[in-house]
Amino acid sequence: MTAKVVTITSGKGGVGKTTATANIAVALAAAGERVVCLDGDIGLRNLDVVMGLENRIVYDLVDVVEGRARLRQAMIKDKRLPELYLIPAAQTRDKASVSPSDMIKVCNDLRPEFDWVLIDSPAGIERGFRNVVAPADLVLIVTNPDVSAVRDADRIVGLIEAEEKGPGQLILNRVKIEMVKRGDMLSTEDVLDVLAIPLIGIIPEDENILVSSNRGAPAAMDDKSRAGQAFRNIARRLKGEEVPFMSLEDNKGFLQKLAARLAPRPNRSGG
Amino acid sequence: MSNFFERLLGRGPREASAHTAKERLQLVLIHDRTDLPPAVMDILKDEIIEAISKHVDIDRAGVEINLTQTRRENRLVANIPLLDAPGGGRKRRR
Amino acid sequence: MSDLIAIKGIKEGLLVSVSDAGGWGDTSQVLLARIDQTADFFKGAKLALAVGGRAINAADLGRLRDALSDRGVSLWAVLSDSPLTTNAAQALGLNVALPATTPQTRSVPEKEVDPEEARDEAVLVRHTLRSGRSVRHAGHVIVIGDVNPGAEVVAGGDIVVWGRLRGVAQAGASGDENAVVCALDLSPTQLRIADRIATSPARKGDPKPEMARIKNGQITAERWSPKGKAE
Repeated sequence: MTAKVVTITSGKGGVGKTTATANIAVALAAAGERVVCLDGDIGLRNLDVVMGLENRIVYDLVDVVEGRARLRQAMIKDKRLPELYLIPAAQTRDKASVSPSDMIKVCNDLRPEFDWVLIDSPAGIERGFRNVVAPADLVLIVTNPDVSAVRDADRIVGLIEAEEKGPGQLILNRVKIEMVKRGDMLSTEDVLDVLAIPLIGIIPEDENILVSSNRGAPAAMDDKSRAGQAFRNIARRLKGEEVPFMSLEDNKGFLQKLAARLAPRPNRSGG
Repeated sequence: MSNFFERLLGRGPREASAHTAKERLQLVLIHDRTDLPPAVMDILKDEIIEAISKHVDIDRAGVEINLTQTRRENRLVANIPLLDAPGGGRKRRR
Repeated sequence: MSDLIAIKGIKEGLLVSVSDAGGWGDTSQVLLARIDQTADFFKGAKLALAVGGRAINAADLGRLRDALSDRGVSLWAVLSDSPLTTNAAQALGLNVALPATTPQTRSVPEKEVDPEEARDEAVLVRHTLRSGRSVRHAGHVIVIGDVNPGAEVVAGGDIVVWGRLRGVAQAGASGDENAVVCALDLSPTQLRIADRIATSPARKGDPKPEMARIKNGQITAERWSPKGKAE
């Protein structure tokens, strides 16, 4: 079975791409899928740290691209889950060390052995971004409910639509439902109004995310974390399951409006 | 699965995660600054043990190789227990 | 073969001009081969590509950009008389004009056009303009779709948005105070007509179609009604 290559990007930095990549990877692997993650942020690696694998690095993606290591040598196996691997980014090089066709080649080499290849994107829209979009079958766009994050996400949607990789699917991260109710935070509807792309996940603000990052154990492993649960739902939707969105509050009206908005979308977005 | 953390790290649930974060961070930064990937340390340790063993008997199990940092100065510190040569006298070179 | 391609040094890097002749597939191959011949010369270069009247779509431009990127060349601008090519380049985030060396940054295309004539021409954009997109035209601009925050429309004439205008709109950009801006939802972050400027007040209630124009020296927006709006 040949893998689906999913790139997780955002435009704006700091909105939760790396956290999303790590957690979705863990959730998929916990469900029995064979997963490999690539850290596309050459020069500023952090997927390894978020996954707690930072002390296992020997070789990295640039070593593979430049022929100093084979793909298997650079892959770090996460011992906590059956089939979860990471290929870390180089820390002392920069984005120019890798080209779009390098990334396409690496992903093609990985496809036969895995179900999912998840690529963490750097911030921005320059070469690093194009490197990670080049091999993608699906692009997930992470944004926060704030004006500048949404504007950057909109730019990204425009760029990937132009490259015929669109429209992408949205992960709305760091939602604080109380602030939305007070009118101090953009609602999911507000964001979807502007971006107009299918929604694949809403992640509530959750302190457990920071705690998990401190420990190097992504929150998707933790039953008690609501954000972890939301990431597990994204994994299920990626696999084609229809999963209703978690109630972030008790107000039925919110959910019904959301369901109505999502109803016409094709099944694959998870509904 | 909620015991995952505890089993994984061998720590009680009370261990403040910020403490863990700080420890991990110190180690990660030394590796970043010196461009010495963490897992390469194991390879390095084996090679140091082999090199030193050629000249003197050492207690391999007791060997410690660590990265330390004082302000921004990084050091590789090797702590190698030596064994007494059997029958005294200089060890012959192999 | 070599007269298909001309290479010139400019302030911003290299300017490569390709002729109009031949299919794009062949021409791009020739270009890449030429770069491969003197790879060291091109490595690390910033390249502006002039394609004349060629119509090239976004997918082809994107592929060329990636192929250039593989060779260490970064494509930052595509200059063309073809609206298809210009639109495609913009959609990919590329520049469509050279800074300051071209006399005006107000309108595209570059070909000589009588300003009066251009003023009556309209450009029709049939999709939503996302953040980062910019449509500039000496005449009127009509958008069927939204203009998102972070996008801008600059027109010498009128602007009509059959959708939500939430970005920046400048009508009458060459000084025409009679220009108007219409939208089904008029909520721009900034609106200009000639040299006047305004921002939207907070919306009350559902959006209704409105037209903005200069009245008594100021920009005012009025609800559209079929009667009484005939000029």
